[in-house]
Amino acid sequence: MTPENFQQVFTGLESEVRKVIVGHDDVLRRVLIAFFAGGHVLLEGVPGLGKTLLVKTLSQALGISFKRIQFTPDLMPSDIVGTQVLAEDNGRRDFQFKKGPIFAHVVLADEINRATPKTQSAVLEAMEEKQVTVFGESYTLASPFMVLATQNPVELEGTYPLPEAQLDRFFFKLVVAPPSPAELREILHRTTGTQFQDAQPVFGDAGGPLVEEMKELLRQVLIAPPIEDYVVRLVHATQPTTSNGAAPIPAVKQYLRFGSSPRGAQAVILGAKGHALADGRVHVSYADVEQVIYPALRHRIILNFQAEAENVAADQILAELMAKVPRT
Amino acid sequence: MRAEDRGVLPPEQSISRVIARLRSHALYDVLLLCVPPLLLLLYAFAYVHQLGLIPPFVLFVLTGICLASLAILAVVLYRPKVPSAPLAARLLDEKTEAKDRFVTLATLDPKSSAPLLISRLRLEAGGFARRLSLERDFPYRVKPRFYQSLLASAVAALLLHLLVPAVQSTPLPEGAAHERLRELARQMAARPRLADLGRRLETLVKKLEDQSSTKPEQQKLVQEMRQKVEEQQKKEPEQGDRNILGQTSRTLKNLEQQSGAGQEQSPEKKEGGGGSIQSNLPQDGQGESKQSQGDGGDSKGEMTAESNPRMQQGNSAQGDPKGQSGDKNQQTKGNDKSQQGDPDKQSGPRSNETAGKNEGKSDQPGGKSSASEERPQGAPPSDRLAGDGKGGLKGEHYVTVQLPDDPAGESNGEGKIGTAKGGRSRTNVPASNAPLPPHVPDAPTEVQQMPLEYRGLIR
Repeated sequence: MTPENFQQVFTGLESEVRKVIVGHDDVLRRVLIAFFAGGHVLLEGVPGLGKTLLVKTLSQALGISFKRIQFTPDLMPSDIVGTQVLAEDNGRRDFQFKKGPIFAHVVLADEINRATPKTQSAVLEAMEEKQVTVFGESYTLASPFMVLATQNPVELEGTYPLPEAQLDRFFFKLVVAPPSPAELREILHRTTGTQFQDAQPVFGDAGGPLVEEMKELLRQVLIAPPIEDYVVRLVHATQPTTSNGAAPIPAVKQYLRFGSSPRGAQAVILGAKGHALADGRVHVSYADVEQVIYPALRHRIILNFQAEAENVAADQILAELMAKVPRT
Repeated sequence: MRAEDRGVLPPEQSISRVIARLRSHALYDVLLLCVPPLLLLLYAFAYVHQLGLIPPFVLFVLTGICLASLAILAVVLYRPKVPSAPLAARLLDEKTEAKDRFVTLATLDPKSSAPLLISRLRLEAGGFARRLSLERDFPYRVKPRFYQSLLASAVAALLLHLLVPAVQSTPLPEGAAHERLRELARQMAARPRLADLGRRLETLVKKLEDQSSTKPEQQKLVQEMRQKVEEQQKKEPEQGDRNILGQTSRTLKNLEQQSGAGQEQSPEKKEGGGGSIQSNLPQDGQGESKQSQGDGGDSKGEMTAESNPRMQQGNSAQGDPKGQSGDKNQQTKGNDKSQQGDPDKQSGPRSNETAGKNEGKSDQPGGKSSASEERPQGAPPSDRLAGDGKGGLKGEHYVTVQLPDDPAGESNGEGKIGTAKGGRSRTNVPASNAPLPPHVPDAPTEVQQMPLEYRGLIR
C-alpha cells in the first residue's frame, strides 16, 4: 500500500458515501480517519440528522458487515454479545454460542446512553478488548472492528450518561450539526423523489486485507519530534494541576476537573497521521494536529460544576488552549 | 530517484543555505549594534588623549580593553542569534509553504522511519525548495537596534564634547593644581623643545608650595609663567606640544584666578565678621544721590559722593537700609534707588553699590534732610555702639560717618556738592571712612571723638 493508493481509496470512500449523505464532510472524513486508525467514534447530535444513515452507508461503501443495535433500558448484555443456546445436532443436544450483533465489522450503537450501565459496559469492553467472554469462553471480534455510537444530547430523561472512563475509549467524539439551507434543499431533492442512490462497495473482495494495509500505512506516517512535543504540551496543558510546577492556563484551572488521559495524545497523533494521509502527505504537520484536537480531546476533558453552570463548552476551553500553547 | 538526480536541490542543502544566510544576518546585526559604541569609545579615547588627559600607554590599554570587551559582547550576542537547523527549517517551511516538510526532515531520525516515506518526503521537499530565493525570502533588514545604538552613540559623543571642556574649566583645588602642574612639567621635560620650560614649571610649583612666599608673589610668578607658556605655545609647531602647553596655561590660569579670588575675599571676610556702623551716604564713589527733594521743589539736590578707593570699585559700606542699630538718621523717607555692584563681593549685611542713586523727598521745608535732624532714640550712643557684632563698633577698623554740615574740605571723602534750588545752598554731606585713631583719653577735643549723633546739635 502506497500513500497514493491510500488517498485514492480514501477519496473513493468519501465519494461513495456522499452519494447518499449530504453535508457532514468533516464528520465523514473523521469517521474514516478513526476507522483506519482503529478507533471508535461517538456521534452526538439531535435525532434526524442522518447519523444512522451515515454509518450504514459507510459500511456499504466499505463492503464489510454492518449491525445496528438500538439501545433501550431493557437491553441486556447478552442481547449484544450473544449467549449460549441449547441446540440439537444429530440427536445430541448441546449448548452453542449464539453470536450477538457485536460480531460485525461495523456496529452502530444507536442511542447508547439509553442502555443501563451494565449493558454499556459490555459494549465498551468489546470495544477495548476486541473480544467478548461468555460463560468463561472468549470470542474474538471481527477485524476490522469499529463501533459507532450515537447519543442524543437533548432528551436526557431516562438516560444513563456514559461514565468518563468509558468515554475515554472513543477515539473521536464528533458533533453532527444540522444541515445548512443548501444542504437541506439537496437532502429534500434526494429523498423525496423517485430515484434513490446507494453506495457501492469500494474494496471488492479483498476489502479486509486492504483495510489492514491502510491501517498499517497510517501508523507509518512521519511525524517530526517538534510536532510530537507540541501534542505533548497541548495534552499536558489540559491538566488543571500540573506536576512540573508551571501554572496552568487560567481557563483550564477554572473550568476543568480532569484533563486528558494519554489516550487523548494517542488519538491526536493517530488522527493527525490519518489526516495527513487523507490529504496526500506522508508527514504530519502542525495543521493536522490542530484539525484533530477538538474531536480527540473534547470528550476527554472533564468540565467542573462551574463550567456547566456557566454553560462553558469543552471546545471553548480547547480553543483557548491552542491559543495559549505555542507551536515551538 | 534521488532529488539531486532530478536536478532538484536536496532539502538538507537548502536548510544549510538558510542557516548560513541567517548566520550572516546575525553577524551583521551584532556588528551594527557594536560598531557605533566602539567608534564612540575610540573617538572618546583619542579625544581625551588629544587633550592630554591620558598618556599614550593608557590610550592603548583602554583601546585594547574596549576592543576585547566588545568582541566578547559581540560573541555573546551573536551566538543565540545563530539559528538551529529546526528553526531554519521552520522558516523555510513558512517561506515555501511546505507544510512542515523541512521541519520533519531536519528533525526526524531516518533510521526509525519508513525509507519509502522518507524518500518521498525528500522529493516533495526538494520540489518546494525550488521556490526558495534567499535574496527574496530572506533579505537583510537593518534592525531598529542599530539606529538606537547609533543615536545613543551620537548623543554620547555630543555630551563628551560638552562635558569635557566644562570639566576642564572647573578650577582644581590648589593641591590638585600643583600636582597637575608637576605632572605637566614632567611631560614637558620629556619633550626636548619644552624641557627648559618644564624645569621652570617644576621650580614654580616648588615655590608655590613654599609657605614662606606670599600670595601676591606667588600670583606674580604664576602670571609670568603663564605668559611664557602662552608665548611658547604660539611658537610651537607640533600639535602635541601645543596641547601640553595649552593645558599648562589653563591650569596656571585657574591657579591665578584662585589666588586672586582668595586675596579679594580675605579682607571682606574680616569686615564681614563683625558688625559695622552704617552711614547714610550713598556710598558708591560712582553713585549719584538725589539727596532730598523738598516740598514745592524747595530743595532738590544731587550729590555725588566719592569716598575711598574701595567704594570707587563698587564696594559699599552701606548695608541693609533697615538694618544697623535702627538708624533713623539714615537718609530720607524717599525712594531709594540703587544699582547693586558685583554680588560676589558682597559681604555680610553690606550692599555694594556701583551706581547708587538715592532719591528722597524730604518732609522738612527747605529741603533739609531729616537725617541730620533726627535724634537717636533709646540707649545712649556709647552703650549702643560699644558692643561688638551687629551695630557695635568694637573691633571695627574704621567707620563711615556722615557729617552733615561739615565743610567738604575737612573730610577725607570728596563730596560733590550740588546747588539747591530756591537759592539755598545744598547740604554738603562729606563722608569718611578713615580709620579711627586709637583712643586717647586725654586727647584734645576732635570732631570725630564726639558722639556722632550730637554733632549737629552742638553746632
